[in-house]
Amino acid sequence: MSRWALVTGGSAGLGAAFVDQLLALGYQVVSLDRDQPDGAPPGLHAVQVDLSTVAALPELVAALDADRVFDVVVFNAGISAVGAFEDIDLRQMDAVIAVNLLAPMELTRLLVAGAKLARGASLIFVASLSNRLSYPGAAAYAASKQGLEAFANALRTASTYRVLTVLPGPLDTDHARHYAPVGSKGCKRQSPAALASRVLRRRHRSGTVYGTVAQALAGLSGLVAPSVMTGLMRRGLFTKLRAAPPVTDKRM
Amino acid sequence: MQQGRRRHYFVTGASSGIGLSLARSLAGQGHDVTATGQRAPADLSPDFPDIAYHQLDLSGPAAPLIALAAPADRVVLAAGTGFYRPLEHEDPAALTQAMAVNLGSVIRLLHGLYPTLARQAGRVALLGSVADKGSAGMPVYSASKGALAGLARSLSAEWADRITVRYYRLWPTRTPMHARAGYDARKIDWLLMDPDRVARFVIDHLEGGGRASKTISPLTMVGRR
Ligand SMILES: NC(=O)c1ccc[n+]([C@@H]2O[C@H](COP(=O)([O-])OP(=O)(O)OC[C@H]3O[C@@H](n4cnc5c(N)ncnc54)[C@H](OP(=O)(O)O)[C@@H]3O)[C@@H](O)[C@H]2O)c1
Repeated sequence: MSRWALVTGGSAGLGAAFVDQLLALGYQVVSLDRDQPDGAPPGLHAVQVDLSTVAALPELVAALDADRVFDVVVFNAGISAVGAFEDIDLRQMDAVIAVNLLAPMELTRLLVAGAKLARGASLIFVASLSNRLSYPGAAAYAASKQGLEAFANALRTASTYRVLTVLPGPLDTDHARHYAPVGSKGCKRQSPAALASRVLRRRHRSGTVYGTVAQALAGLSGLVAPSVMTGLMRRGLFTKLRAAPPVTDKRM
Repeated sequence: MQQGRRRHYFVTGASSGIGLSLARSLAGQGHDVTATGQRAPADLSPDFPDIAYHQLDLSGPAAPLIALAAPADRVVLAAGTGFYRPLEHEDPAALTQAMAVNLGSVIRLLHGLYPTLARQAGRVALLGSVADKGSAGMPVYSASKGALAGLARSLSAEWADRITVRYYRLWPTRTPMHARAGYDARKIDWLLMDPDRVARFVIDHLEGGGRASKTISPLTMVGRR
């Protein structure tokens, strides 16, 4: 009997890395994305959906095979909106909250209520290292990701599922390059394949996964000295982001 | 009057609990207070102070709220809602409602109020919860408050040179919220903080210097009025 995995945003970046590796581990993978995946490897079932329309999710889950249950679900899809909070269009911030937070919440609710999860299934929530460091210049994004971690923590203590929270730092993906400040060299970006395999190796346990040891240390500093780290983020990142016009999702 | 200067406060959630305590305390101190809540004026409690009250649903359009709040140089967002129940018993409409009131309305309001707040060196208090790290039994409420904490931390850094944004992380407080959420708070009654004292603490703290995020626990209250 084949095992099934569900990945949101599986067509590019970190999501595509999760899809590849889950396929290699022998899973049948359903990928939810607004874009088609690059190839059509056996075992991949791509479903086209815009996750910013949360109201469309019940129908989507209802359309899944009635007796299919998932062993692994990766809530990976994410968009951002960077710039000064007051300069960013509200609709863009709504879209960030919808895709990054409301969609995973509603999808989890539908999967749980519809008994679509296997016993002891792994729920993997891709949040962000910004939950430890803050992210001035992307306040709605920071909100969505910190909300997602709180949601994951609440589920972890109350359910029989394994709940993993991932806190990636800068990744070597198109998404990260799109939202980085102008002129950012991005020399310390982690490869999405490396992070996906780090996460999937831990999928049978609950907990928090950082991208790298250095990022985990940075995250720890953010817990111990939040004001100091927020100040560094403000000087290092926000001053650059606010100097340029806002950058939002390409398609919203 | 306490702080010397008369301020104009805009308060949400002023019809119940901590928001009501805030409105009473502020009115008592002689400030200008514009209060809003979800219930009709006729349903306000007898101890509601003699101040302007507007019935507005925070999950509805933001424009009327922004117009109402624009003159204020102090914004205290105390409205909040949510249920104490596992995700499988959550209702999709209630999920949407809690996220809209606890998070969406805050984003809209602060976005719309930016120009007037910046001009007046405004101060904003957001009422958060210890559930912001994730509490068993309230996944949706936790998500909304976690998101609020994330918003507050980054926005207070963005606006540091213009507008003060403070996030108050509250321990359980003796208000109607627990019963409304479907939680029997009698078993933790000994732990509950007095909403009047919480309100006074928030009002004082918002005017002073201090961290962008402040946890308010029973220990915080020791030795205070
Ligand atoms: N009590 C606690 O233990 C505790 C702990 C941590 C954090 N907090 C937070 O503190 C804040 C105040 O809570 P509380 O204990 O005072 O709760 P409460 O007594 O239940 O009061 C909630 C207030 O929010 C208003 N409200 C709810 N939904 C609304 C909507 N859609 N539109 C407009 N107003 C709406 C209510 O209006 P109506 O009453 O008129 O319907 C009421 O004034 C909340 O943000 C809460 O999350 C409370």
